[in-house]
Amino acid sequence: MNPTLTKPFMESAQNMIYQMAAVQLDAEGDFQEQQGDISSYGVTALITFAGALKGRLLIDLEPTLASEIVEKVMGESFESMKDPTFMGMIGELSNIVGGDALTNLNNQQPLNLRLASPAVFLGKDMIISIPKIKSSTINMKSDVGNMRINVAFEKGGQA
Amino acid sequence: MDIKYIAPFLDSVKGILGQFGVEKVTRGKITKKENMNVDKDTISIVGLVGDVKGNISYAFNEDTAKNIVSAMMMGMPVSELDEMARSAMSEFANMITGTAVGKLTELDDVDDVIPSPPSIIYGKDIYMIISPVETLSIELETDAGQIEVNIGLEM
Repeated sequence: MNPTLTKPFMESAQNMIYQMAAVQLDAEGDFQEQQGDISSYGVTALITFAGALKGRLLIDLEPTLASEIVEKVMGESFESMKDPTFMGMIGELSNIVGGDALTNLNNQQPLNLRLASPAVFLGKDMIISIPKIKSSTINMKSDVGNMRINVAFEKGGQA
Repeated sequence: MDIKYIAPFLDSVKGILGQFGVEKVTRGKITKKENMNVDKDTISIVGLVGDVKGNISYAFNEDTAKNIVSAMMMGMPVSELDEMARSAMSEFANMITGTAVGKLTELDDVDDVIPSPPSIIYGKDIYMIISPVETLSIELETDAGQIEVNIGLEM
């Protein structure tokens, strides 16, 4: 997939998570085409967008990293990740990352991309499958846990 | 959330299942939820952007998913949810949402709605939030099994 379409998502994730929670995320290599299904780390936010192109951003976090970010931002800890405020915060995180990335993409190219609302999933051994659409994944590491970003564009980003 | 935005989705489920020969579709419990424990193991989710914004998810048990895929493939037996079956599940979500979007744009205050490609999530004991506002969960009893339609629109 065209790296000009995927890179902004990685940069926005790094910048926004650092600004909000002071967590430094380091990318491991570049975006690679996703082969097969994604086996979730445990906390997954999905946010779709559409405009001149249609696509989807998936942010998948290890529970330790998700908890660290939420605690830093909210200034409180949660007994369970199932708390609606906790899950809502993860949704908001994907909104902020996705919104920032789309703004950058729209500034580069007249794509007029808009975000839908985020959906957040928690579960053990979740498998995420996006049939019929090509996607690329990048793995990111921090001191408190791993994260992956998966970006999909319909028709591989060809308008 | 106004019922006029909800009804097209329920009608579409009934219409599309009817096309595949699943005749009986009755509406069960409707509940309003903040976040939800989905006791089903397959969830198809589609996002909407435009005058109607939000997420719609369709949740099934594995057996229901197999029954629906089998009905879509003219009764061919489906023993596991392989790649082809998953593609069919995604098409099912696409068809329902596409039909519903067509009906939504007939409303006076809706001109432009774009559905996103569906994603499918499998697993046990899944919790989800699909809207920052509120989500309506509607159980549909069908001949193929129970389908839980969750509608979260920012309206």
